[in-house]
Amino acid sequence: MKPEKALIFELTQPGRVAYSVPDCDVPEVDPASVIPHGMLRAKPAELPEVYEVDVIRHYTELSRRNFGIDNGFYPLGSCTMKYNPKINEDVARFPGFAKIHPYQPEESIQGALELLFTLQNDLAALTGMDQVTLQPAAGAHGEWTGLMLIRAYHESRGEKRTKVIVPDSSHGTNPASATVAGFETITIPSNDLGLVDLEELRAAVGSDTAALMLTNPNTLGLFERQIEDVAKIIHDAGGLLYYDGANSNAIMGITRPGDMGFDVVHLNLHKTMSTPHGGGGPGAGPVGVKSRLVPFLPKPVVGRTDDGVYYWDTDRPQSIGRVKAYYGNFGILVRAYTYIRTYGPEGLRRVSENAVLNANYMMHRLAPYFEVPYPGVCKHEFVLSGKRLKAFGVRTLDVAKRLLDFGYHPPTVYFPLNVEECIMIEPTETESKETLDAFIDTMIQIAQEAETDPQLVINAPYTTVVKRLDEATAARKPVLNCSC
Amino acid sequence: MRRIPGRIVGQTTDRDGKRGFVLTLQAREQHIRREKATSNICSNQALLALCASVYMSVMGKAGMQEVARQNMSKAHYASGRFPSGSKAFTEPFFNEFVIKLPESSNIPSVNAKLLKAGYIGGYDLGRDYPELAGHMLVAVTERRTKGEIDDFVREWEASL
Repeated sequence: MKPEKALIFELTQPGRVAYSVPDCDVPEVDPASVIPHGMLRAKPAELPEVYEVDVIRHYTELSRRNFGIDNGFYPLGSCTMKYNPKINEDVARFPGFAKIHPYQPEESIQGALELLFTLQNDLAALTGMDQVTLQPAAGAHGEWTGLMLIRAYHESRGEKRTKVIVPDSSHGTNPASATVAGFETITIPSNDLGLVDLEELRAAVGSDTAALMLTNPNTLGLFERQIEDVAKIIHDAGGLLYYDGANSNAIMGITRPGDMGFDVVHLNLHKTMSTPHGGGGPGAGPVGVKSRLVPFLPKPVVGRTDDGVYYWDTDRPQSIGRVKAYYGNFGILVRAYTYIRTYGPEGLRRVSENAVLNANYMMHRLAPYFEVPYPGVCKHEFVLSGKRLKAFGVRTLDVAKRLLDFGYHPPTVYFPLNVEECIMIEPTETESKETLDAFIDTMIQIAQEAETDPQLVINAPYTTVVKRLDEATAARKPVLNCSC
Repeated sequence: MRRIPGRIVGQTTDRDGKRGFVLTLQAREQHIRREKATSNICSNQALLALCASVYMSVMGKAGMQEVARQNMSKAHYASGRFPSGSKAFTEPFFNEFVIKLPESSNIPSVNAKLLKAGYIGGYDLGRDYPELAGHMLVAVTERRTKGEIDDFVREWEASL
């Protein structure tokens, strides 16, 4: 069967080119006269041979086969898929930011260093931490960095602490990061309210506890009301509290991890600070720490002299070292800085208030149609269970696929793991009531379809560029290279 | 392959047998395997992968070779413009080479003067290799012209 969309390699016609470079205006050097014979390629790399118009049309068409935040509503729970303001992109493309190199002399990049210094301080102020590193390239990288700081802290005190505690509702990155950082993970069950079970926590801590990793609000969208008790249990055992900032869109300007008792925090700038996810650019996972952990921060951090000159502070003898080449994903940091300047402290508080309001509105309208395992007031996201639909043979995955036919990105499904047939919805603050209502009406319609015509839901989607994909075969017999 | 970190795209088919693509081999990843994961990489480099993919499609089979040849030709031209005593190594090079400053000069001072003249000077190798103090690494790409190279070498000599 003829594939609908050719790969760029399949468009090749020998001899076609899309480029032009100026003629070489210096004497040409024959590579064979310089490069040792055995290191010369025998033949050129098998790259496409196409015209410029082919390249433009091919990639433009690929972009149209994607659903992104600029296409429509994207309520992917725990991912904070808010609209990314275009001013962030404009500022990141200023030539003075986009065309500098990290090896430049400090005196030629004072503007960039001032931006980084200010952002370090802004994030410290928002989280209640004493100092921030902007190096980590993503959330999980921030987790690993934070855990290495915790390890360095304990070791500096001559203590060997090997265990990291996580609740069963935690993001998979938490236990994975703990393992990569050389710790053993202890998973504790949540209580009936979906919160940390204090008795389970007391039973799990000991002289080998390095840290507890927690999101607050947690992955169920619930605020851990006993957080001060949690902090006391961990601190009394000599452990530290790690705050996974994945859910910080719920708390900006309202409360701070530092005030709750957390010692280490990472923030996902691509969630809370409106920098692009995935296709729009890499992430960024800055880490903030309380003063007792500051000596161990990755170096360099950006410093400022009393004369107002910015510099790379590399004189940090207890530092865990560099965790990222240069100083993190700078273009993303520019976008986050722009977002914070655009909104200001009051604006950021309103962001969180509206994110919470939107989530509660949706939860209450959907409650009659889907089970709400943890009723009450949620924060910026909430979970539903699709288990009622199982009686009709319809799974949560089918509901997610059916949503595609209505032009929505599905919510997160089957996470967190402690909710059966879980559907996790995070609307964010950037959506209008009309958008929320339209999505809710679609969810209600799909719930009714599941009862009256389950096959309609089970066979979805129908309107996408491809239909349901065979993921099992893809994993069993991986095809990872094109055979052209 | 089943232990390599990072996300992997695989080809598959949809219900109608049409070609499609999925993220595959996810059983290695943190959201499935949690503490037993062999991949915990979440930094998404798709935009950079896209840029590189478009660039390689534009340049294609012939263009990538042309760019490499120009890099090499221009770097060798530039190297030849520096005084012969300043060449630190005789081994083959592609598009960057090491220049040794006279004993009477130092790199911070030379690069400060070059900066005033509008150039970011060579990389100070002494920062990373103490035995190469006074050596700078100069790179030349296809984007530079003969005139720019001549001007740079002239400013470099004036800054010593």
